[in-house]
Amino acid sequence: MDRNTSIGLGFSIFGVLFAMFSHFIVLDVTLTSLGLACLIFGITVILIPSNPVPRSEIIRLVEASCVNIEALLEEYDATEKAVYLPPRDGRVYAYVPLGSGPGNLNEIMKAPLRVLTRTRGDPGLFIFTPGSEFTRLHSLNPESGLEEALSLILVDTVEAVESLRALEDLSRVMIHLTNPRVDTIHPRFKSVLGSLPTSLAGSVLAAVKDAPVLFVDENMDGRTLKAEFKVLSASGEA
Amino acid sequence: MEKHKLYLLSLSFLLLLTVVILSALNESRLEVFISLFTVDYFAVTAIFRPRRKWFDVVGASLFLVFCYIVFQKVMAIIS
Repeated sequence: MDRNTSIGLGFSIFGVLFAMFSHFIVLDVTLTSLGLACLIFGITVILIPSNPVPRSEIIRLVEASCVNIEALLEEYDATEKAVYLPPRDGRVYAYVPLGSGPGNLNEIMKAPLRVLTRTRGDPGLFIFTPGSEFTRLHSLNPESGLEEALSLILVDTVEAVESLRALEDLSRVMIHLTNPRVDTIHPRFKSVLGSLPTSLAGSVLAAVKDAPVLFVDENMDGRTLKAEFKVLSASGEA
Repeated sequence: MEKHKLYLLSLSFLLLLTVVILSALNESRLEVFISLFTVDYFAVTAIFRPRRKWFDVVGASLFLVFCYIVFQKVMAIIS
């Protein structure tokens, strides 16, 4: 039962009881009408959806955002794993090196935001990830707990997975995503940024850690998607 | 503020205002309260046009009750 339904039900039940009590026992029209007003308000609240944009449409929009990224990655023949960079103006960007290795991330983080960038001669792509806007909207920062922040975005907001667990071991972060409900069919996107839930997790991780996060690998184990990330220093080392 | 929240806030405010004003005027006819609730409901709904999960049960019920009240009044006048 969602929040609106429970609030509306409370108002409706109170309204009916109050109106009947006032009408048949107290015999007061004003109080009866107050009960009826509560009933009208309660049923109206029940009928209003708590999320004006249905969750299924949010999921479709997030999935659709992968199409352009896939086209871009295909166009530049990107194969290296992406590095999720800490937020700039609240938004997380992913850097996809087009050469070998991520290079000097300190310079990359200061580089102007363009699709195709070049630092010390190394070309790379800045990708506006599907999770970028979620991290900004929820103002995720290093004070947000990792698992709480991941749950907020992946479980509560997007409903991308049923539940999750984050395991930290020095610079390595393993995220276990149970029963993922969203996916992308785009192979290049999957190999560079990870599957859609992994990409969302990467964006959250970069925002919470406030550090560059390298997507290492992911694999499906039964109903659990296991994604591995490595938190890097600004120099690009783990 | 979100449109749906504003809609619910306006509706609750108008319904309460109607009760307060009519009781201050010593109105003792329940049909007057219900008729004005109907007007409040349709006015606020027409302004905000909220999205609903289901068919507008409240609007339909209020409209039917309003029609019944009008019918009774018309019959009283005729007879």
